[in-house]
Amino acid sequence: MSEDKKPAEAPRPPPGPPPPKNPGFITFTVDGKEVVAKPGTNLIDAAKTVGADIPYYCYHPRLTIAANCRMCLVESSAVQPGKLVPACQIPPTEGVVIKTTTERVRTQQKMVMEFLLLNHPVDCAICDQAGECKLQDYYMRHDFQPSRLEGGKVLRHKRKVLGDTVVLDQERCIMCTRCVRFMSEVAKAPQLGVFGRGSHEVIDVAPEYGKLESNYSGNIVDLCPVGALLNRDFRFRARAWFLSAAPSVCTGCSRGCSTVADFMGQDVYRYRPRENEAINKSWLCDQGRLSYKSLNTHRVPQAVLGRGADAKEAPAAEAIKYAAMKLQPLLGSVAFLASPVASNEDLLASFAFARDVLKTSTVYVGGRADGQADFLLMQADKNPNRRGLEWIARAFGLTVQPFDALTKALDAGLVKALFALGHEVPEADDAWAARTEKLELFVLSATNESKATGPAHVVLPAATHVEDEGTFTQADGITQRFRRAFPPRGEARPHWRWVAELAKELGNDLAVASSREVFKKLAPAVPELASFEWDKQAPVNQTRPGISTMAAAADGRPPGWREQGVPNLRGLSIP
Amino acid sequence: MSVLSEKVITRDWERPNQNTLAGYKANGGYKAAMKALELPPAAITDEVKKSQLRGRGGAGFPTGLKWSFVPSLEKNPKPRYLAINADESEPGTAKDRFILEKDPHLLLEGIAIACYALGAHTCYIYSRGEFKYPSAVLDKAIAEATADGIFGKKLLGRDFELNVYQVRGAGAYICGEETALLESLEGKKGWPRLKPPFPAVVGLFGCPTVVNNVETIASLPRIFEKGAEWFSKLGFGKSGGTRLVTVSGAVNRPGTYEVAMDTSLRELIYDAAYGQGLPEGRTVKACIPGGSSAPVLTGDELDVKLEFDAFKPLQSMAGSGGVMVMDDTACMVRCLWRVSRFYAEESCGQCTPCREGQPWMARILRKIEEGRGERGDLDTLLGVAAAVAPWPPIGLGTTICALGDAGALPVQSFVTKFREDFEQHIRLRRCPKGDKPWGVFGDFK
Repeated sequence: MSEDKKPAEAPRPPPGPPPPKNPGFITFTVDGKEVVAKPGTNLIDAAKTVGADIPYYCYHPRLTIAANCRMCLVESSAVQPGKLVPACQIPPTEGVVIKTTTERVRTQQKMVMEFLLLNHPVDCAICDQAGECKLQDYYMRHDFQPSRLEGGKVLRHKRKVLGDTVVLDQERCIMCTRCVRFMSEVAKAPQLGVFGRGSHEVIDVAPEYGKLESNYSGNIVDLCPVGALLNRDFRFRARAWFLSAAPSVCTGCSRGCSTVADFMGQDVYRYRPRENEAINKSWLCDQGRLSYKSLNTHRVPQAVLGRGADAKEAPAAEAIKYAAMKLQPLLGSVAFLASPVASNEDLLASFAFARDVLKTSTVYVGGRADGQADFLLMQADKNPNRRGLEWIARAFGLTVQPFDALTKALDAGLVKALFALGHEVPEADDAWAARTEKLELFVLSATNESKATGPAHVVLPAATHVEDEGTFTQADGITQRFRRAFPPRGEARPHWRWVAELAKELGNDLAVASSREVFKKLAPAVPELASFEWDKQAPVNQTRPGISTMAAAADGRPPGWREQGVPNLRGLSIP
Repeated sequence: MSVLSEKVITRDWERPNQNTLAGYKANGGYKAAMKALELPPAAITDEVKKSQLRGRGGAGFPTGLKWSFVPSLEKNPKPRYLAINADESEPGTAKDRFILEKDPHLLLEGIAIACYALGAHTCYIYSRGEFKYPSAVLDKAIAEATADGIFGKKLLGRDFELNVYQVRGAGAYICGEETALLESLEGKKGWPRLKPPFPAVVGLFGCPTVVNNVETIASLPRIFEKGAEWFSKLGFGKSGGTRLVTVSGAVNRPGTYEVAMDTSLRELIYDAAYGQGLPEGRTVKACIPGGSSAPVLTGDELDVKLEFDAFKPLQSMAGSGGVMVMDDTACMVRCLWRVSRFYAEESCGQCTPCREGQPWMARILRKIEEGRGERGDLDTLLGVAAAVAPWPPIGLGTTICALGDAGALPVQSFVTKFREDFEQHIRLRRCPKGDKPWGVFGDFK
């Protein structure tokens, strides 16, 4: 009635687009909840902020949009009712109402899952992806019914070797084309393509290439949401759910890519890239990916005293006493060779040791020789922590000398005794062994056995970075924490601990019991590291900085819970 | 009975030497283009808008409106392209091939007008791979026109460069989809692009591109010869001009005919000028009105005009004018299975529902036709089809391009309208038409 009495209004101008509710942002509704997002935000990402989990296969934030899996279809008020739009493709607009849980959307998701599984072999029992497969996840969440297809499936190549790193099972492929897009857009090597048409089409290497050859081909294995692309190195070695994961850093070069080290017992099984916008985005190069192998093999298990025929293995306490006894008369004339492969904590402690105990004012820098750089991640400098080494040496008042200076001094007979961190030097192992053969005393703290460990009078077994907490500073000066995955193998101890115990034995107690204490005690002297909050580095998948010093497993349980609950599994000993 | 007052496209088809430049010019060829090129480009587009010319490729989108979506040169200084879709591969449609064979210069004259209006200096004609003879005729026509100075540096003597090229496809149905056609023109795999952006903004080689059907462009010379009003009045409702339709199936005189927009489907089938009816004693059981992707109509729904908007209430579409008539001796399941197999074969494989759904539908239909059908199969079939493209209404497809709809709409319309036939197959465990599932042949006039 009141409406009838309203005076006739003047005809309004046609309504334009509504003014933005939050200027500079786009405000819209997902499942009844208001979302405020920057213009250009993908709807899938925006919906996640209010807890709406839109399923997808082909979408990847760092690749172009393909919208071909049709899993992310949602209802939108911007199109005719009944029409579904792909959330990955349609940018959200001001005031639009998105619904992701309606009956229509659910039915469609169920059908798309059934479509994807029509020609999928469902051979999860022998599939490496099982346990981390999006088909499995979404089947349980969105489908959960037997397939209604009768008759056979399309048969394709089951183990097509694409290159040195990747093998393809074409039957398992769901044609999301993430790998094709990655190779052309990120790796700049458009070697993969889709061949054929319809339900018979396959992913393969373009005939003019013949073989997948790229230093980034391993990433397509991570990108593959199903078990179609598999890493030849990791294939058939472990079930994903038996692995625990520790946030770590790749030590292959000075880029310092964030990684996840997947381990079981005291073995690392693989590296996976960990999201890091500033350093490696979502990628990892194949060389870095395989660099985990030195963590498992050719390790120094126990201290070795004496060289040549006199060499014998000895317990840690005896090795400390022996090394201290040998070093005592030579203090003041011992040269110190530092390694940019060691962590900041190792270097902090050992530089304090070099300055206060060995009484030297010069550190020589060893580490790995320069190699090749490439356009994306790989750096020519193959040492993960050169920047940190330079910072700490400067702060400790030590002069940094290149490796050449040490070899010259050795050849001239100026250096009689040497204390070295790390077995890696930027020259051939044979040449280095011949040089160090002449030394009166050579104390070496090394992670791996090599020809360089032979001439040492004392070899102290050092722990790798996955066996201890610590930090690396990569080429751009970004310092990153890495976390302990499992206890050190055998009698190995971190460099800093060997150095601290030697210092104590030689009458200069550093009074540190953990790498955290090393950092807390010594890093404030280094201006570049002073502001680094060691405790507050966010663990992986956790936006709020936590204090947990433990690495988190993929399932949220502490790493190694299976192994450490069963102490004698795989020869593991808990310290 | 509506009478076709004047032929538009087919007017000169029967004249001698019409497919040569000399013969075409003898019948007043390229005069309309000369006339049109007097106008400024914007006026040409306005004239096309006024003529109510609509795209003859299937969607019936107003051509002038499509042209006006091309951004101005100030907004986008990239070159413009015109792409002619001569990839006529919709089952049941054979109209563009006759234009290419019988009157190629009509198309070329239209191209001259369209390119001048759009400011496009390059035109690509993408013709179907199987068009061996038509594309040979067209190649000859292009060469003649270029040698005569019609195309080249000076279009019809004007200071406007226009080069026309014919590109032949490799026989993929999907390349008739406009963005897949552009991909194929660029030398890539014929996979449809995501829209938006539409080709008018980002098209061939990233430049603004208009994609038009052969018949659409071939109508342009007549519009400028006799005026937009004349063309508009020829038509009916919001569709100007006449259209070419191809009648096939159980009619006495199958063929390609030019009809007025207000001709009904029944007239097309029974009129002496067109299909001349069915053999003695037969009735129309089903009729696909616009190429095999259009939802099927029953024999009771034939009183529908062949105009683009008239099919909307019936939840079908005028499509590309491929009218397929099935009489009461034909097996509906077999017909649908054949249609479904085509789309399963031609699915490009880019997105999931179409890639996996089309072969699945074809398998279920085969199962029913071969007498192995079960009670739940029809519901599964409808469920699969609805997951590819729900129907009705048209246009709810869940796939990137309309090929998903094209395969799913026939399935849903056949099963909904002829459910009894499908259930009979399941009940009898065999095809009731026995060994003649395609119907009875041999007693046509």
